[in-house]
Amino acid sequence: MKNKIKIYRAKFELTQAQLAELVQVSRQSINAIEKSKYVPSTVLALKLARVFKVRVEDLFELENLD
Amino acid sequence: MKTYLFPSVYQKLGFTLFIVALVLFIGTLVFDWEFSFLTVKVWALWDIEFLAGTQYFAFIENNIFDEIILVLFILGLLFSGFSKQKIEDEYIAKTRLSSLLSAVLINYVLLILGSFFLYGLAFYYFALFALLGVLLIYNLKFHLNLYVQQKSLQHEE
Repeated sequence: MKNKIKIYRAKFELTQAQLAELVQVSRQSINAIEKSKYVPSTVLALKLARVFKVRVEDLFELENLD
Repeated sequence: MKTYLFPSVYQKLGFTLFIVALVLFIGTLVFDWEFSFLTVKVWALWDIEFLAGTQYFAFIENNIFDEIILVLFILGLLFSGFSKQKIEDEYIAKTRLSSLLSAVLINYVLLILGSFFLYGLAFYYFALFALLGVLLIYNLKFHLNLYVQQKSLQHEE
């Protein structure tokens, strides 16, 4: 699964730490999600989408492998 | 799903208990530490002695130093491995679970290998290690994973 968190984070001028605080997770989690090392739960995906005021599908995208 | 974890202050307590247990254990092993005041009457559900035979539901004399060391090891490892992190989120939960899975697998692969390659007293010592094997390997893996995650953050700055 691909995601555009890093792009949206840059657009909103948020650091990993600031985004982490907004969705109440650790910086490590945001870092791992951005590097596609960790796929967030639906709840966390919805929270992230809410921060950037987009739909979950705009943030996350399925890949052929999934 | 609600999982139980100890409060985060227990982590440091856990490390401390583990170090204390380790020191006592090494002391017994290397320097033959013995404390006669720890020889007390204990109640045994079941006691099999090499020459004295078997007893059930009986009061027996026993030095409880080894029991104390074992309990310190177990509590230390439980507290250090299963207490809340500063920010306990789903990623930590996943890290915890995958560390636990690899610990169980590694422990039992070691046990299979040990049962084929270790005999006599060597296997006995190994079986003692295996008492704590899962907890030891889990703690190592979990804290190593946390360290690696922390390290990879510093590259982001």
